[in-house]
Amino acid sequence: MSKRESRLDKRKKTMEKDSRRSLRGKVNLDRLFLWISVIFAVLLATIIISSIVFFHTTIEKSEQAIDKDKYKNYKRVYAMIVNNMEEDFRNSIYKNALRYAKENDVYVELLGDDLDKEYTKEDLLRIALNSKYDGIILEGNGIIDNRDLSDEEDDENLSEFDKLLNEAKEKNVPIITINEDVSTNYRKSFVCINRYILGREYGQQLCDYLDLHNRQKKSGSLDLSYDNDKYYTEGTKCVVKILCDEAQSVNNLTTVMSGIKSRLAEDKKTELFDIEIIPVDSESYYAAEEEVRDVIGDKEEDRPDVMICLSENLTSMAHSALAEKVIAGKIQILGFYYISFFKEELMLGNIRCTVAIDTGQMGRYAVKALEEFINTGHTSDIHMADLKLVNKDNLASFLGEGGNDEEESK
Amino acid sequence: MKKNRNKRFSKITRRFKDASVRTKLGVLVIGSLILMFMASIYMYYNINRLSRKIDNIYVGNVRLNKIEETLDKIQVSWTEYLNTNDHDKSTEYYSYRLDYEKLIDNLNGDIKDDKLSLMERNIRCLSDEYLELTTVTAGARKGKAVKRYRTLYEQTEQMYGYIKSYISSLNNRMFKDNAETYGALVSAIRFLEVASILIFVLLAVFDVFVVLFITRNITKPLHELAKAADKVSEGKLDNADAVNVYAMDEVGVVTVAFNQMVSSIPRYLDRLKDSLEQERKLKEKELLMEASLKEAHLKVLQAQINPHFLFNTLNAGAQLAMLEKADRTYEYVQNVASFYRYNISANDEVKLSEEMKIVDTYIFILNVRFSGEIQYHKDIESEEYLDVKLPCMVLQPIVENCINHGIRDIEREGHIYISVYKEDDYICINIADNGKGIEQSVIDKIMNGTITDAEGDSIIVETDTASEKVKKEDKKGNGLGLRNVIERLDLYYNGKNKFEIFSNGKDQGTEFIISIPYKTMLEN
Repeated sequence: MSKRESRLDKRKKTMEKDSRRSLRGKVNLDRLFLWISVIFAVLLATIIISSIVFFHTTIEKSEQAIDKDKYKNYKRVYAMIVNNMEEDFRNSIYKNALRYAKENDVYVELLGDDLDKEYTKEDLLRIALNSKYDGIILEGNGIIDNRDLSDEEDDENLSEFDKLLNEAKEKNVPIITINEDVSTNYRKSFVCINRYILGREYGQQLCDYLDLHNRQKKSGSLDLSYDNDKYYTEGTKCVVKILCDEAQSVNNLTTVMSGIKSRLAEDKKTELFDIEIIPVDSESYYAAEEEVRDVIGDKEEDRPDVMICLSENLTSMAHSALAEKVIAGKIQILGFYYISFFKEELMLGNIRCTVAIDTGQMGRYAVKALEEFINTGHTSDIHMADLKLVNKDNLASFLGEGGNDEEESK
Repeated sequence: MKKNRNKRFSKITRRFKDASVRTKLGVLVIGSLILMFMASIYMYYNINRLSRKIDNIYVGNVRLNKIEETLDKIQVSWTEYLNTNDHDKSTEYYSYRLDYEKLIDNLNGDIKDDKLSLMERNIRCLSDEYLELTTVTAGARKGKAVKRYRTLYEQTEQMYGYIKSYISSLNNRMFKDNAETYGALVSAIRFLEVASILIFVLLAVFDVFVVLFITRNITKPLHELAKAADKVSEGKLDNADAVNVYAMDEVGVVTVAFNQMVSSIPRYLDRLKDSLEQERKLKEKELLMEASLKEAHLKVLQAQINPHFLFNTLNAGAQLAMLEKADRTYEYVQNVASFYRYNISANDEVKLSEEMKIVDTYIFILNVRFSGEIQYHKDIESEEYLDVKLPCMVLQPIVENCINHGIRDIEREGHIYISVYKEDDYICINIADNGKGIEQSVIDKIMNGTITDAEGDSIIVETDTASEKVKKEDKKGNGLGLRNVIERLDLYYNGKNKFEIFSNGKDQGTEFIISIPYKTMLEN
């Protein structure tokens, strides 16, 4: 083979190789194009589908937020007007009332809760009367006067509250009182706890404390880090301060006191106790706290031995004040109502005991009474909810707030 | 079902593939335009939808503001009316009141499980009470019941305050509640911004790839076709594979035609090659014929040096014999003259009758020379066979061979037989003698062409005496050998003829058979 021929042959082979390579390259390029197109199509489809889903969900949510038709309609609505809407005790009553009401195709509105401005009970009552509520669950003012005020010729002598009650009667708006009562002429039923029993429970606790304290003092086993060094006699009385809301009626307080005294009398210990009622203005929380701190005092000799708190807030305030002064346990606190926060304090002995109230019963009774009255024209005059004393020993059996396991289980 | 769908899909795909390039490009351009258009519409629709939703969110707040504004106007106009008792203020009050009534009519009046709805209901109820109080108070003012007027006025003011408080609280609550929805919608708009950019970018890239993919598919067959055409134009027909036909569009049709063309070119070339080969063979044959003839002629010419002179001389002798009234001499000289004339004027091909005639003349001349020693017999089956054509100077050399090498030196009477007959598709010319015969080895040599002219010419030379020398010279005859006759016959008849020599041995005589393909001859 000549040099020229071999050169030509080599060139031919190279060209064939190049051609094969370029063909393979084209085939791969085609496949690459196809794959890239498919990947982009899948990406595109994913983004479009996810954006459609996202938009659909967002717009549906916004439509749902605006849409009022999604809410259930009720045949009747009742207004609930209470003294202190922020207290768990009252809130629990409302929640239970609402739950029971809904079960009976009725709605209960905690009036004033949604308003930015704070209104007096009278204002709220006026709003309720002018807003065509079918019934009112009212925490009364505790002034129980059985006069028929509507018979008064001149209503100038009537308080604003009474005038409104009069108006309710005129407008045939049934009123159920809760916790605090009003004149039986205006309200159709009263839902409450037995304050006398409550007083007796507190009395029992006072007797128990005194007996135990004196026994320990005698035996010398008194733990001074959790108690005072007194021996209670008629000369050295056990000082008991009963803290109550200013809004609490004298009636209620008198009943509680009766219960306490009755129990003390039974054990002939009335003379061993020096009991004083101290009303605290709970309108302002900080002012109320200050007042409670004043009751405790700075000097040891001025301190009361026992504090009976007749509201949930006052119980918390008393406990906080003792904790602040680092004398927790030195003053026995007999509290009111049971919330989860009290659990640990009860365990530690910082709160001697508290009273669990069946708020489920209270809410249910209130709505039930209104329903009964509207449907039948009459209802029971009074509905009493159960109460139980909670202390370290029986704490385990109390689960939820108020000591009412009904709410938790539901 | 699925199979049917697949079938339908593949049918559509096939139809698209087979569509014209214009249609494909049209679909491509319109398709990508539609894709972009759809994406734009989709984005535009979503943005509009979101904007509308955002507007709707605060419709409630706007409505409440309007209610509050109208309520304020009522309160102002009502107070001014009570203070001034102005009729215009009264008209104003009533106008605003109408507006207000319309506005609060749109508020919810049902008891719903929704605090905001209940607040609306309360506003509605309190507003009814408020409007009623404004009327009653105005009446008390007119009736000048001062005490009652004062009480009612205070109540109206209180109611106004309650409504304002409710409106304000509801407004705040609604604003707070709607803020979450507003936030979600605003984030949706932001998402839309990002998503739309992403979708457009992806769509553009996808579009580019689809366009590239489809245009490649459209141009790929064209490219392959161009490449194949390039190959063909370079003359690489052997390497030219059939170009793939992907679809029956314009390119597909051209590709099919191209493939057909490429596949038929080698066939045409083969045919052309065959015909050229045939032509070449024909020419070669002609040349060979010519060469043989020339060789024959050369020999004839060599032989003609004397015959020409003799021919002229003989002509003069014949004329002399005729003048002297010597008829036999005249006939003899005439025959000799005819013999040489035939030799001189011999054509490429002659009729069998002419060949027979020259044999007759030749035998006559020899019989005059050798006193009628040669008995000549002719047997012709049909006169028409004498019209067959054959190369000239075929029979005479064979007869000459029979005489010179067969019957010349035999003691008995010599016979020459010529018969013409038809056997199968051949016209057979049988030339036989009763002479010395030829050995089979010599026959084979003659037939194989391995015998030389010299050998051929001295086949039967037995003595070398002086008297025989004359005979020997005669034996050479006109010099045309048997081999030459055989070759010329083969060339003339393309080997379709037969030339056979038979001899049963010494003194058994020799038989030459020339078989001419009669049918071919007739066709020619």
